[in-house]
Amino acid sequence: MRRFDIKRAFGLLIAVFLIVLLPVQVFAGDNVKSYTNSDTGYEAYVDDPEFLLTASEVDRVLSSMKDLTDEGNVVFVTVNLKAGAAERYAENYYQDRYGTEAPGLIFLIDMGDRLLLLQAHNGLDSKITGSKANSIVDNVYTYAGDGDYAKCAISVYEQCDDVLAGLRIAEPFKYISNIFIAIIVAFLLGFMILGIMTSTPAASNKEIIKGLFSQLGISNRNANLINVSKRYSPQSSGSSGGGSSHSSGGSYHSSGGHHSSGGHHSSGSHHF
Amino acid sequence: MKCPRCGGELRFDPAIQLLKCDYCENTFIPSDVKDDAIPDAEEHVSQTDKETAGNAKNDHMADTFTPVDTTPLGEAATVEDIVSRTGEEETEVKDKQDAVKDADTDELKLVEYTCPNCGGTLYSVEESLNGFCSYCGSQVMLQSRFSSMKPPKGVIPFKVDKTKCKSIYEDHVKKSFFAPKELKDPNYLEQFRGIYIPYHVYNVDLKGPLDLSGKKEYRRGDYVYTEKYVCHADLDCYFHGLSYDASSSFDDHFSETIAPFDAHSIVPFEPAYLTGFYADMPDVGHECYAKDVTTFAVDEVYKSVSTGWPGGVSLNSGQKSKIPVHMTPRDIYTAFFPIWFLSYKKGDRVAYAVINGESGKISCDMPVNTRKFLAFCFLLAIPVYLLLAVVMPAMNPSKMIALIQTLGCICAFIMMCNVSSIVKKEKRLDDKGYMYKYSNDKDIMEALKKKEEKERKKREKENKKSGGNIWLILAVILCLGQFIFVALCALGYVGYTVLSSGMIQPLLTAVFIWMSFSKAKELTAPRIVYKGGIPLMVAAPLALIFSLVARASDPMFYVSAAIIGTGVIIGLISIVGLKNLLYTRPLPQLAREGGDTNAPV
Repeated sequence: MRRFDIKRAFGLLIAVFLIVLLPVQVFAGDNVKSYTNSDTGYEAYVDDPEFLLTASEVDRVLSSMKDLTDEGNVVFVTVNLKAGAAERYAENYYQDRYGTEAPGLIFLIDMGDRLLLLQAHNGLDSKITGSKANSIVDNVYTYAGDGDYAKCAISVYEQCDDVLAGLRIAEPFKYISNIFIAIIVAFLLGFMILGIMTSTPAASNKEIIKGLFSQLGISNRNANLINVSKRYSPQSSGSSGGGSSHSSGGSYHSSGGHHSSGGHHSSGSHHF
Repeated sequence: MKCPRCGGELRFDPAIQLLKCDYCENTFIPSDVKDDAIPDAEEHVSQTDKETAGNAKNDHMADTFTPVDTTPLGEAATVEDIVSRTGEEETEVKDKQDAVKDADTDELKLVEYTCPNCGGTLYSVEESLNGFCSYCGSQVMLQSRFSSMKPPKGVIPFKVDKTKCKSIYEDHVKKSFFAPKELKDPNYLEQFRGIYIPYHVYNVDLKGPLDLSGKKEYRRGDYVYTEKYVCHADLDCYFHGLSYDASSSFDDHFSETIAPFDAHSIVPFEPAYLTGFYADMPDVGHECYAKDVTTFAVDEVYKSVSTGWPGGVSLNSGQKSKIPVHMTPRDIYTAFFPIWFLSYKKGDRVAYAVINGESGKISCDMPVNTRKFLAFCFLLAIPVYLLLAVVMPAMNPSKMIALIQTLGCICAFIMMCNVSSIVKKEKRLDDKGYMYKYSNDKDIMEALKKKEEKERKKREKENKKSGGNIWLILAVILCLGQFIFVALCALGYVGYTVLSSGMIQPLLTAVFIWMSFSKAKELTAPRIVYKGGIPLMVAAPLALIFSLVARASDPMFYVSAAIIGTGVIIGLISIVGLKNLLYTRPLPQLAREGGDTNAPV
């Protein structure tokens, strides 16, 4: 009886241990952590092979991603790539992990090209548009430039949360540039209006003829045939159209999800 | 002109088209009243004794014209497709034309008024003239002397009186939001002056047999057949009453924009029509516009001839020269046409307002109130800014800078176009009459030759186009359109990538500004171009350097945007000044005796 009780207790302890720790999986040595929202099933996933974050920073970043899992999957990934490869990498990474249907965000830091990239997928891109994504990374790239990648990522997710909640985010450079652009455009419009106001067209030929004594008498028209020639030009060669045409069928690829035949996304980026 | 009843002053009243006495208000038909008041042309001059160019020019008209074509007229044929009146009306019209051509040609005695500032000259049958010059707008005492000239054959009497003229002008100025407020002052409008401008009136006939080549193409199976034809018709066409201004002082631009004058309104000239008005004298020979007249007539006839051939035959291109044209010196005469004329002088610039005294059509230079325009633009910027806040996508800072650079490029291009237009206007390169008269100037002659060459090429191009198979042309356009669309998409992608970098815009801006500077040397006031162009030329590359350096630092982007934005705005403000140059003219320097715009009043 006593041996059975100890075995039972130990088994219960193991079960409790597993249940409590199941949502959070730690892979020692990879700096990877994830969290799954039990209500929506969406995942927050941190993958930092470049070790830009410390362990505690990983937790902080993961914590800032949790609220977003109400809307979709959220990913933080660091890489080291050649210039121009980041966008395709982020797209493939997200689709390989979650497919082409699930909504989500991926924030990527590319240490090779010194690039910050934010992508929204499958539904979230209608709220976090390319324009918004650009503004978000525009606001945080200085943190990355200072080496504070945790603050950078946290700020990104906080702003995404604000956007998804319908709140405005800061776009200072855009507003200030718009002042100059608005003045320039207003001047150009003013010149157009001035040109229209001051233009006086010359009289047309019709108006001139109305004020003349005129007559257009053309009589005894006849056309005398003098020569007929013929040229061989078979119709089947299709040469009359000026070139062959072929159907292109569009640019979609049917593959296992590497390309965007089903999914759609928006993205914004900034170098730091 | 004195009233035969009471001896009072007679004036021609446009409202009733009769002479009216200022005192007893009796009215008279102009042809019934003769003027013996002005003595023979003895000179009462206040300057040295010189002959005017006008008398000498008048004599050359009948002697120097070479007919375009001397092919004898063909037999009269049955007329189809007539666009004219009934037989009775035609007779009446012919009588009228003959009356004008046979009008009295005794010397016309006038008083000649000359402006000591610009040399502009006006003529009148009256011995008193308000003290201002219509050409340069100066308030001066005009020098007067008695003169005589060969009278014109015909005249269109004024139909629009001064009250109507002022009302037309006021309505026009109301719509011009940026016009200076002085133009709306009723006292200023009193300076409207009715002037008879001399015009050459041309009668051109296109009569005789016409033989043109044509063809018809069709397909049968695998063969395309081409049938060649000789297309024959008998022409009985004419255009009588085509008019061009015969005064070098009157800009061709005005004569084109207030046209047409109704040739049916031309009556035999009587000096009585000049009472209450003034006149200018012809100093441009009729051969100056002879080619324009024949081109107009041939083009109109060719439009009718090129379609309507039996059997679906279409004409081959380039056959306009086969149309027979007849115009001899006997078919050309001078007539006075009525113009209301107003000048507005500001500094060393003048703006003219011209109203057709027969139809009331108006054409005027409209100066720009710079402050009003600037205020309008800055106010307009507010709704534009609000719109941009909504629709403008957020871009990377470097792309934003590139966008402003692109707008700077557009600004530089506009500056270059404006400077070119101003040079053209100040040199009067488009004024054929002026260039015909001053054809000793080598630059003007070269410009005239280039312009005529351009017009000849344009006509040849139109010749090739007209008379072609419309379906073939449509097919070519569609194919070309596809090709252009694809090319534009490819270029657009490449162009967007290149433009986004912001590298190419400073270079283009520099090119346009440099071209503006080189043209500006020919202006009377080039400083405004340099003032506007230099900041933009400096700002563009400077902003590029800052934006390249500023890759990782926010404040530098703001500095870059401020530099290029400020440079572009300064450029735009200078363009407002250029618009004022464009919509006004330099004070005239008329090459008549005694003229010197820079002489003290």
